[in-house]
Amino acid sequence: MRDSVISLLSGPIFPKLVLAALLITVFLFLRKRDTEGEMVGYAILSGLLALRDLVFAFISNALLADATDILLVCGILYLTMRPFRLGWAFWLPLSVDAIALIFLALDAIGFSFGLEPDLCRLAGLFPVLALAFLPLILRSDADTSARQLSLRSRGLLAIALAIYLIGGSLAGTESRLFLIGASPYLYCLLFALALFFIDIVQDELVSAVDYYEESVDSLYDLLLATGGSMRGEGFLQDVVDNMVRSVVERTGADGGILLLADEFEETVSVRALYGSFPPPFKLPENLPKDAEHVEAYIRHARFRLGEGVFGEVARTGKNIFVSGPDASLPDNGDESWLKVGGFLASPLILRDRIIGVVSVVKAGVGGFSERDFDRCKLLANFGSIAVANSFSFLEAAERSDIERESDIAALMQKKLFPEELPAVAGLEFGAFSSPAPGVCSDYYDVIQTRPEKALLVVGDAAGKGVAAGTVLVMIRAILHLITASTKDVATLMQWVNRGVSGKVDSDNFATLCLAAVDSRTGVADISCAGHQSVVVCRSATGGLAAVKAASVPIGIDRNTVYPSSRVDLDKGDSLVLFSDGTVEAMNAQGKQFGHKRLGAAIQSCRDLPAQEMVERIRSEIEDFAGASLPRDDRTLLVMKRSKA
Amino acid sequence: MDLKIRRSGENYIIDVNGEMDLYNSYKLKELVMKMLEKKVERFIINLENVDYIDSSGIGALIYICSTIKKMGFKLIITNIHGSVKKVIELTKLMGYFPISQTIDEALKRMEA
Repeated sequence: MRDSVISLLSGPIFPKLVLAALLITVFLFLRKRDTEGEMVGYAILSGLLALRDLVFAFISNALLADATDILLVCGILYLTMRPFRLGWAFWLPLSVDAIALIFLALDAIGFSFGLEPDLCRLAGLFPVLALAFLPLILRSDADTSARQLSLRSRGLLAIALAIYLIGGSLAGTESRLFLIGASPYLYCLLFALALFFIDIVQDELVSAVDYYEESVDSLYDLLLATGGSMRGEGFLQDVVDNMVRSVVERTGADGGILLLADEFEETVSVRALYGSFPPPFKLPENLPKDAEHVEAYIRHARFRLGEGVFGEVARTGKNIFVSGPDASLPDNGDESWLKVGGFLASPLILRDRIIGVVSVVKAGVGGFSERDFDRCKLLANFGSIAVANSFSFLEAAERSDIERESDIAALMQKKLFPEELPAVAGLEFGAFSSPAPGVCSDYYDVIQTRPEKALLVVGDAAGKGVAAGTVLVMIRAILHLITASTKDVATLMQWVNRGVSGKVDSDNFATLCLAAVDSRTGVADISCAGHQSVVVCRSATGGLAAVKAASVPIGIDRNTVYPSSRVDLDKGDSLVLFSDGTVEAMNAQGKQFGHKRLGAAIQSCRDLPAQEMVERIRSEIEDFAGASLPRDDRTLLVMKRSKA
Repeated sequence: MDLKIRRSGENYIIDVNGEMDLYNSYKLKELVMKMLEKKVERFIINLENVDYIDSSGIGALIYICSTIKKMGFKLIITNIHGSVKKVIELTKLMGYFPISQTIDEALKRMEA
């Protein structure tokens, strides 16, 4: 036993087995790159070849050699042609070989038909012929690595196997030449197949790198096209136009459209069209079938979510890939320019929200590949960001317009405030007004109407900026004109209201508070138009009272009649007028300063001079609000009846 | 502020969520103007989820109300509560706005 093993190892069979093991290793290694399992097939084939060599080391038989040769050749050809799903062209030659094998089997058990076994092996030539003419009977593309391998190695395989079969037949399978040369010949052939496959894998890598390079290029183009246009008017249109052009060019399509989701509505509308776009949706029957009408129809098309292909993509966020002409696409007539070939659609998604759809088509009989589809998805993903950026840009532009306007409004407002408060004997005044950025809607004033009388004014216009400022300018002008009269505050208020109503939009109304004070008697007449109450603080007791009267603001109804209230002030008592921004000053926790805190602040500093009271209350409000930005103007006007 | 539209027959209900202030009241105004362009004639503005309103918010409601009134269409504002109610009361506009307590009540009034 030991001797026979040593003689086996020292004989010619050992290198053959090592060679087979190496081949199996190579094929198993390549298996990772192979999607169709061909490499495992070749590894098994190499194993069978080694097994045959091992058997032949002990038994040598022409019949067995021919039969196994036919089987091995059929195995190679089976693996080579199987990926193409050839049907009868595949099975017919293999069945001829099966018949040859039956003959050989019958021969082996004694039913000889007079056929030489070495002639039977020539049956293996039938599948070899089929392989040689493979391109003529092909029905599918060489789009997988297994198919590539078959096509590239076809010539070499056909010739090499033909030589092997015919050579074996001529020399005889029992000849010394065949016994020595046959298996190395087959090993070399299998090794060549492995090399072919490595070459294909290499090519695939290069082509993948090319594809990704091109993808990066296309993204660069897209970003340049969509980013470069972010200036000037109508740039959102430029962004979507450039984006759809980019997708069309990079997928090799004939035309494309981009749809954006409509705000507040469950629809998507076409926002850009590029190239020739045979619609992949049904056109109305009565639409004239000429380029102009069809284009106009597409440009204005709108789809409910879930309606038609675009509505479906916009609702589900799924991509659509129709590679070539398809019966599922609607038929819009016989005109060739209305025929849809391939069709791709991808959603534009930003943070899980579908903001639109981009779609490209090929007209006529053209089609798209998987790569075009991947490209379309990639560009849609990045394009979504560009579209979203332009939305943000629009908002920012709008904001900057608002800020510019607010600067103007701030200037206007500054002019509204009195440069200095008048000196009225027996009365002290203090005031502050801090505008909120972009708002500027508060107004205060102290107008001396008689040597001993003053009119205190605090107003707040709805809205902000120049629109609010304009209303305040009107109110101020009217007030300065009419305060010379001897009419009471309620009448003054009515006059202001008549002067403003109908001259401004109803949403630009203003709230206003007027207090006419007589320094000698201490009588204060107060009238409010939708404004915050006026606070009276008694110096002696610290008692607080709010003078309030619900009433319609200035500028809404021309015929509003305003009530007025009378308050008697003792010496040292103060009157505090303020705007809603003062009590609604908010801290970081979202709490408002409120009337209670304001009342307490007034009480605590009621013995200070008016301007100092104002400063104290102001700093209390600011301490309360902390770093929170003011949302509305804060205005406070304090009048105090001098003690002396 | 976030706006959502739902439909109940001929009536369009606008649900306002958040604060109606200087910075966003214009959105409601723009939305209603857009809907008017599209021939919507019956509006219900639901303020159930509005806890803060300032003069600009009131301004927007006044503008919407007067525009819809001028065109002869219908508007009802529902679920006014809390500080929103206080502000509207202060400006004495409770009578100016067509107001219903609930959406159901508003829908009934629309049909009347």
